[in-house]
Amino acid sequence: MSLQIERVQGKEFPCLLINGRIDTTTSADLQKSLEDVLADAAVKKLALDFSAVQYVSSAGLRVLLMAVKTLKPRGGSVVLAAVSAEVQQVLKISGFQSFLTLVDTLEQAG
Amino acid sequence: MNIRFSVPATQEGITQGADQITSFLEAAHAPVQLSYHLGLAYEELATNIVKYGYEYKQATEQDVILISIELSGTPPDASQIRIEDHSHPYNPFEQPPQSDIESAAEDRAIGGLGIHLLRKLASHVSYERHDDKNITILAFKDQDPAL
Repeated sequence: MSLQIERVQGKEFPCLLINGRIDTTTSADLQKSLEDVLADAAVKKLALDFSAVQYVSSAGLRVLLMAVKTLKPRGGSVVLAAVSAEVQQVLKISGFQSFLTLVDTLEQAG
Repeated sequence: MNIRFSVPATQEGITQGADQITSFLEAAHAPVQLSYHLGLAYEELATNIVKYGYEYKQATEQDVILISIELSGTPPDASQIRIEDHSHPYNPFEQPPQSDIESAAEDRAIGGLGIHLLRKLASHVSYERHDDKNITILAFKDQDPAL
């Protein structure tokens, strides 16, 4: 099982299209991609298109939290677009909805 | 439909098992949410076993995690997953409930989050130590995720 991560061009802030399962095996790939993007201290906002993400485990949530912890001191935020109802339920139960911004489509990310 | 198999109690074993479960659930036409929750139950529990069950003793080839999944209903709308391992006695549900769900992002400790999710998503959880084995059983029902 693999995870595809693709940079979406044309936005003022980094946008990544994520495709696949974010689990204990693949979360390291996501972490690496996010760390690369966040290494640029000018980055304040990050958007992730979750329309092709069917599964996120606590290992994936841990990576999202890392991104939030990096951007918050910069006055920034992490936006998730097109999150499935099932993944939204998991974000809600974990309390992650309070510090992630959820939007219906990537266009709405700003 | 049922499936029963074992994987080595290692990180590679966890990945192998996740692939087997995904194939089984696809073949059984299990609904998206039920599949998600079963996958999560397996991954979170197996990860805990590999991480904590073998923290004092290196897992050998004999150290396996046994997984059984039963689906009921056509199409499946309820399920039970049973996970057995031979590591030291360890009840995942004995951990104190996650207390900092409401705290600010920068203050959050992440440990225990997987178990917190399972407690909330499962309709039933149980643990017993029997014949030197940890036996953890979780039951799930397909339901409206908005509830």
